Amino acid sequence: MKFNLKSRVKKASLALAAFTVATALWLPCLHFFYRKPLSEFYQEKGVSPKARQLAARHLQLWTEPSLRQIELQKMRASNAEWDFMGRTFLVWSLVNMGLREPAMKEEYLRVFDKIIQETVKIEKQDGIFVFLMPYAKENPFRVSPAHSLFLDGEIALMMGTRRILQEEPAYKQPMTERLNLIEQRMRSNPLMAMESYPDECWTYDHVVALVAFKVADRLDGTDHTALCQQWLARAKEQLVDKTTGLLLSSYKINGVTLYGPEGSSIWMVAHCLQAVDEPFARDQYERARKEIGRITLGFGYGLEWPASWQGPMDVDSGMVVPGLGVSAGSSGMAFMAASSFHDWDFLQALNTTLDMAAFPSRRNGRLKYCASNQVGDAALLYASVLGPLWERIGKP
Amino acid sequence: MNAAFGLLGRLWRAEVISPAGLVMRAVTLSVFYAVSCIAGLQEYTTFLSGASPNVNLSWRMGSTLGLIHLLLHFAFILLVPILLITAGLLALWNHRKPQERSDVH
Repeated sequence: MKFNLKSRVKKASLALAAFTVATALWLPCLHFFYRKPLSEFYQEKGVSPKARQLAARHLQLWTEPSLRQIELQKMRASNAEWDFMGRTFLVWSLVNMGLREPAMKEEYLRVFDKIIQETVKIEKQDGIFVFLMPYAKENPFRVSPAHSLFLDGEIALMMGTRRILQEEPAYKQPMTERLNLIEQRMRSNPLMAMESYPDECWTYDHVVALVAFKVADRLDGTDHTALCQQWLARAKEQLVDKTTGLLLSSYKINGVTLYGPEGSSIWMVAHCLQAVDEPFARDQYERARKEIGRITLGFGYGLEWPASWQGPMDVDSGMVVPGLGVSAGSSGMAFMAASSFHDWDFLQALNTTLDMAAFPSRRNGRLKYCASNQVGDAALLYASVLGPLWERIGKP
Repeated sequence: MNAAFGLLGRLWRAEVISPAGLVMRAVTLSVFYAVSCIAGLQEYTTFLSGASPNVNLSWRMGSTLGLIHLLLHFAFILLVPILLITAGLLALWNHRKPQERSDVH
């Protein structure tokens, strides 16, 4: 009996030791099975294979309404915003693709004119709440009539970027009207804040609006430089988290903080700032990279919150791995920032994680990630083609 | 065919902490994962993004199916290779220490 017990303990110890050695051998090797050349995801010139496959899937969604309906139902069941953001990311992606491949411009123009016109039509018919989460109706907007910077800024930028690719006079007036409204509301608030939800202002939406102003200046000869500089000065002074130096995500219209530096927001903020204030944008990216960007065993990912900030997970965070804080939303948005700031190591590591954990599904040259959704895939597509648009906006 | 069934039979009957037993566990996990892939459960992993996995199923049912696939996927890419390497190391140990073969077989 004694011998039997001793033998079993020895056997178990040996097996445990072998298991530990096997784990130590395997874990550092795993990423090699998913790591691909970066050119498969992002190329300085032309369109990468992955971007082409993702775009093919999205173009299919916009040419086969029944398919699109299924995808939209899946997203709208959780968050109506995603329906809207899926449109904007796709439009911005197609503009970049059109700038990269002028021969394909006509095909892309047809699709994103359809997207812009349908989006504006829905907003006009059903009101702004159709693209907002239900809690938007729980309280009135502080400033009336109700307008959401989330919608006005992104629609203005959609129209503007379309006009950058090829001028379309029909978009000039509605774009200008939206920007005039945003400017008027920003100027009438001491913090230059405009609501996206009732008494809820998002830095993300403000920086999108700043890019839209920059686009308007380029297209229409207006000059919003002073407005943008004033907003940036106030943001640097009043909207920065003192511990991390990162911009806060959201705040009340009187400036009271709601959410701190959130992963699913700050990466996009850094990307947009790049078009209006490159040094500040780079500073924000580097801080975000340090606070919430990680590479472990060759896999890259984003955390939802910096270690110094305890915040709740909201619907934009996607699934967050308990204990590790790895956020699907933050990781997805990190692609955009890594791509913008040419952080190739991080981008490649993120791409490695994507192929390992997001379940790529390829059919007939079309790619989707099963663990993602339409807005997630559109954001990835945008990250894989961005560059030319910001370059065009920034040119003197 | 008989040889293959014979091998499977030996693996099935093998002790858990033995090279053959570990290989059997790795094979079993791989078969479950293959079945999950063939059944298309990866489509339900969209719950990770926060979106509804399938509008015709309840969120709980859809995300349970997605979670099953997710766990099997990570078992396949993490546990299966580790089990196989462990089995190899134990087999190597037994081979090098024939006098202690009775320890782990």
